[in-house]
Amino acid sequence: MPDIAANLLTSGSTSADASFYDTLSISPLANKIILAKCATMRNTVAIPSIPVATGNGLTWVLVATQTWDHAGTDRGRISVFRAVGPSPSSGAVRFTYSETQRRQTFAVIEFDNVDVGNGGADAVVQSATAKLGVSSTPSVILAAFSDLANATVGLIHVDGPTNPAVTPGSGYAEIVEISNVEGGSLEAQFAAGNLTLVDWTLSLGQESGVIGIELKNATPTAPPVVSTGQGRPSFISGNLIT
Amino acid sequence: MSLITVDSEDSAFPKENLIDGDYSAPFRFAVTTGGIIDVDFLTAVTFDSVFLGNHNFNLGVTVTVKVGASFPPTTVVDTPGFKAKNILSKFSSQTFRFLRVEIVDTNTANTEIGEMVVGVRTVLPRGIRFGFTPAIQQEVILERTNRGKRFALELFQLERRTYSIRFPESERAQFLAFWNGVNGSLDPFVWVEDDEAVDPAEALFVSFEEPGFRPKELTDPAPDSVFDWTFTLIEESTGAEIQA
Repeated sequence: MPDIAANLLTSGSTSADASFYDTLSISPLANKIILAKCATMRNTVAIPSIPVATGNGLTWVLVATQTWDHAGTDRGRISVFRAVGPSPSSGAVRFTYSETQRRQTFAVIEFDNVDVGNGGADAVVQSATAKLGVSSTPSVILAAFSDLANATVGLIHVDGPTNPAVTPGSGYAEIVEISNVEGGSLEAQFAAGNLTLVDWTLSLGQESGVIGIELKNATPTAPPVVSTGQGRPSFISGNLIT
Repeated sequence: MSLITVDSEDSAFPKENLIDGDYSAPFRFAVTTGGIIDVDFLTAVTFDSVFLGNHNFNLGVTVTVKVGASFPPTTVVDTPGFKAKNILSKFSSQTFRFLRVEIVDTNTANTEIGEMVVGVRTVLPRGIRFGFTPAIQQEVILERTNRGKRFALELFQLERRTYSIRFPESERAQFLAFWNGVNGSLDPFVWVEDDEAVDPAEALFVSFEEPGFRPKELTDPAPDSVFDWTFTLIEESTGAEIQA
């Protein structure tokens, strides 16, 4: 039973004001689940709309979204989308908002050994989000996992203007950490084991929006097959004396 | 083609009966004290088992299995203990041209063996569940006449053993290989219910009740991927028990 593995396809950030943002071009593999996450800051004191993701000839489905507080208003939003297809095309992923945003930070991650049944809907077993106040130990908790072979993905956007260093939680490996020049950091972490606590440590307490995701392994753990205590049978096929 | 030689033989029950597939037609030595069976495979072959089915040995019999690259083979690989009806000799894998089975018996009738099988045992990855469900299969030939001659009612019985095995998907290929290896025909095969039992192991000569049909398979829905097999073997070591 192979473990789920994460592979960063691209990441980046921009401080440009725009209503849509493109990642760098990616070349996704066929039938591999991709998570594309973006973090935005609205350029006015208002809540950003939930974006739409497009690109690569794929259907991008929103998995989870979470706003966070900036100066007393939920001006920030982190969102994550999933997509999978038999023949994706190379190109950028585009995040489109209903209104102009102030800055954007993004990352696109591809995963191996994830169940991509039902058009990718089977890939995500559960997700949990949280909007956190000033804290240096942000976290969110997932429900108990359905299978020992499933993995955890943690996504966080830490508010600016400073860019605290983000340390992955215990048991996690950092996939990517990106800082925006205007402030704020986006981080993604991954654990192949069954971790329900999705947590981080920041070098400086800040507001944040976090998302935790359980990814389903394409090869689930078989239940124990109880041995009866009886020895194994054997047989002889044919006869060498002919 | 193999060459079989014996040191004595009842001409009415020749050595060819050892491998004719008919357990009810045995080979008989010409004496009541056992004897020697030699097999020349004509080339080195690999085997780890010798099955002596439907024998009439007495409790105090000694059986010695020897192998060698030249004749007569002298390397002892096993001295299986007594087991009524069938004796299975198991030993580490051997690759030789010559095989000898020496039988020392004290019998009231000429020593005989219904069938002799030499081969390699394939051990399945896990044990059967909760033993087997025993049953008796009965078949009846009704009374009828043929050209005026009346044939009486005949009832004969065969022992049926119904087994169940539960295994994960990772082992399914081995169970399918088992079924493909011995099914598809009416020919019986050697079956050891518990290969890991303390010697002497009980071995049977059996055939599938439904040859050509794969055992009934129940599968848990994903993601469990656990399979249940149920199949019935007909025990043919002593042939049909005919009751007039």
